[in-house]
Amino acid sequence: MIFREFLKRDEMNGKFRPIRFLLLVFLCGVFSSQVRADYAPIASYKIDVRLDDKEKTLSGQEKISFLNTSERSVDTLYLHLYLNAFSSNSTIFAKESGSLKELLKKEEYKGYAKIRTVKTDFGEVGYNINETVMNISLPRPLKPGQEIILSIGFELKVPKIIFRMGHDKENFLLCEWFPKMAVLEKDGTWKNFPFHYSTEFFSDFGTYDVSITLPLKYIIDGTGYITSEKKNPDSTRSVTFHAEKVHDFAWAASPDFKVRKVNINGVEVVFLFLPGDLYRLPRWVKGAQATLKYCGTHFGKYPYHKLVIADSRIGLVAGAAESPMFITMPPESEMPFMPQGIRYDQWVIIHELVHQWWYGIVASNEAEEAWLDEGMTTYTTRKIMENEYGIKGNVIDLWGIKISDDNLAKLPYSASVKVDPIVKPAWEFLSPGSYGVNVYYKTSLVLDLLENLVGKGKMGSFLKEYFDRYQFKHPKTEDFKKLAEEVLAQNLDSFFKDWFYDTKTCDYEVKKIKSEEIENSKKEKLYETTVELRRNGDIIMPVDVLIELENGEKIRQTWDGKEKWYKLKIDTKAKIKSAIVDPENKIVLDLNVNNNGLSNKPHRWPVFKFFSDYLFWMESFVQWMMDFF
Amino acid sequence: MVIWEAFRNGIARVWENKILVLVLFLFKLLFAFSLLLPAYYMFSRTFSFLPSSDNFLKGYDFSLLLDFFTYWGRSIGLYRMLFVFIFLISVVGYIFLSGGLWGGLFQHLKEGKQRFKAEKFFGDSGRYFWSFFKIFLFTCIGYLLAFILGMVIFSLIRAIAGKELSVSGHILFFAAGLVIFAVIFMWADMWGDYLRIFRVTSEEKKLRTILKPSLKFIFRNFGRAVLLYYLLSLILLGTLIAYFGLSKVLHFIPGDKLLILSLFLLQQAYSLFRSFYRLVYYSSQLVLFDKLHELR
Repeated sequence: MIFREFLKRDEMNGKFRPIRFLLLVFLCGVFSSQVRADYAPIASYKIDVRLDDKEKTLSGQEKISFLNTSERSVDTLYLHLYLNAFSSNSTIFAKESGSLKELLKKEEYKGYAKIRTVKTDFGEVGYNINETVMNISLPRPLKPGQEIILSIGFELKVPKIIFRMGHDKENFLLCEWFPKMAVLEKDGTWKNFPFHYSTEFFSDFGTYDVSITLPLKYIIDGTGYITSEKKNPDSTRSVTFHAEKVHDFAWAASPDFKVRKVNINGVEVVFLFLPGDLYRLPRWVKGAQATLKYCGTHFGKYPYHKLVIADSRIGLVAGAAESPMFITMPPESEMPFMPQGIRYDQWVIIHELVHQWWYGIVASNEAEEAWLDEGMTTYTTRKIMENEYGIKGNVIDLWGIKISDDNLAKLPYSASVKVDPIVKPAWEFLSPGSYGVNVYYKTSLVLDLLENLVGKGKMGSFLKEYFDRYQFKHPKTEDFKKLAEEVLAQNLDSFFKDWFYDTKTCDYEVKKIKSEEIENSKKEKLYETTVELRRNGDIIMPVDVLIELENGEKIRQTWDGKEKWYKLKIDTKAKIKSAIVDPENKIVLDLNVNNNGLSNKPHRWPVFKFFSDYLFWMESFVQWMMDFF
Repeated sequence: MVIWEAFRNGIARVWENKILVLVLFLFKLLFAFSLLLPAYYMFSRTFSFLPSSDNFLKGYDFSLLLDFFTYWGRSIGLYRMLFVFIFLISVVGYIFLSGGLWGGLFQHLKEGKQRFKAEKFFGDSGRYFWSFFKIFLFTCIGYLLAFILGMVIFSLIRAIAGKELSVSGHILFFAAGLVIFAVIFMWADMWGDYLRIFRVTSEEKKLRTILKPSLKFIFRNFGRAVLLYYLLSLILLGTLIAYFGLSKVLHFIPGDKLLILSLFLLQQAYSLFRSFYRLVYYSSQLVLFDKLHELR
């Protein structure tokens, strides 16, 4: 494929280039070891664009080679024009975006993708644009297994950055920016959804050859390898990238970038820092090392030799984004002088890097089954944070306050349960908040639960196998479930039904405990011990019950949890001291762990400690008021 | 020398008026209890009989606390409202009480040691209430201005710090900003104290008539007034650091009941000390004011 692409280009230019030929030989060597036998590029792009940094426009053309891998002939092709989401404040994106809608009234925040020409193998063809989706009617159907070449001339207006892509003065950050093929499923249906506020992306893998011409002062990097750079007579230069087995080409350019390169496990990690952020380098290097090591060991080796981490000019969630071989990080100015004990920066970089595996390589449909990327990534991020910073307090460890990633996931989940299930298209969630809670947090906790139920080892084997089997394949929820059942040797129907497709909840409670002496002829005393258990949620799961007697003896029983309540009765030699349901807290989504246990005597000292501390805090509060008034 | 003398004299005078310290401490305790009780009720209901509540002896187990917040969600919303309400009452209550405190300290300065008389104390409280309330509103404006000025300075610092800086450079700039911020804030607070002193010593009821002389006094004796204030604040900061160091050690030695009790006693002792020291602020500034008037 590389060879063919390169020959085509030279045919276009009509020149033989020895350097390019040598590069081709080199790239063949680099990639041949990585390309799996069953991998076939579906949508490949040759893009040639020029950046006008004054007008904030990109104009150029692209050649798309698209292969019909479905079982049906198609007479219409669909493409995404994501930049049109920013064309007005009445787009689907704008309407769903809350406060961003107001910004989109301003001219500087507007962006668009204008199509100049569309040609196919059959000549110029008609097209129709509906906001962020373009359809092209073909004069002849494209048969299964047939390839088509589309030539599209376009002009893009880059908006001032508010969400994922755009510019901030002379800083440019572009992902999903060019007219891009929608995914054609095996059954011949198109995944041609418009761009929603909560929706992320879904694309086919292919080969990208992208040439960007921009003013000389710009420092640029992006997805793939830079294969050539040449200065032009008009004070610009053209930088050409080549990438294989990717599904997007993202790039960042700024005259202010400070470039640092670090080789980590054979991967050249390129850091692009904006002024003032260079001090974050050690943290980012550590994050990259931890992620490449963990994911490389637990799932599979990072299949590329380069990774770009770019500092973005947009804050928090929208400023941190993932693309193949390229991620962006939000500016520290959003959280100035973050204390060492708050590992937000570390969490974000690990999270974005983990996306390389689940979004970049496995690449499920992020629009319709976002959990397969975001949820898996959040779960993996937690594992790496635990690995690096310990189980307790791995995100916040400050002044004795220890907050772990699972705590931060459970808090929003508990606050908004029963709103949406995990599996549903992103745009059908009640709100972006509900999307976030379910797709990121609930999913990560459900995967934790699965791990607790089957054991770390089995879960590890399953995820390794999942990555291995489905890399570059866009697996669906059903594929995930099927493989889980296969590897874990368990029927997971009810698990998936309850946790993924439903909003049911789980809450076990120890309601009452008592021990009554039984009259008996023996010398030693005997008690009938009763533990009354309740299932307050709808989800039925077998749970362990740990009973501790006053003589120190511990008894473990299991309740199948099928009934709403259960009285566990056993004869014991001593009175009951306490009972705990799910003592190891395996059910991490138990809505209230504070009702999971009961003692026969009050725990006065923890309560007194709270009393003492809280009283002092309140005294101090009143004292500070007195100090100032 | 005058500053040190004012400080020492201030401590001695508060020591002789221990009953005022007790009044202040009890006032604080009363409101702290009012704020504590609803939270204590929720906490003890949740954790009294929970075996894993022993985790709290080692520190605050967030996995238990987050379900506590979720479970008591609505009640916590109500508690927040109650909190604000009690806080506002305590502000008004303290403005009332501070009249008696300033009056008592001024009387001691004027006439030497006297027996504590409740009718005199509450008489002063009532007498100075409206003037002190106006001073309170005025200082609020002062704090607001200090805040705005501080934010401007912070922005300037961030603009400078926005260039290439190491981590320690960032921390240094941040610390510098914080110090400047605190200094400006303290000026607003100090001015409030001298307004109260002018009110008590001159018996002038109108705020506008004491604004000018108090400002004049501060500017004329700026170095000494500010130095005394900073000396008092620096010592307070020292005690705060010492307290937190000690309490941190006690907090994280797990489980021992004796340590929990020791921590409680330490907390209450420090709370009592903070009441004492608040009066030292008042008393020392009052003595300084008196000395500087004598010198003139």
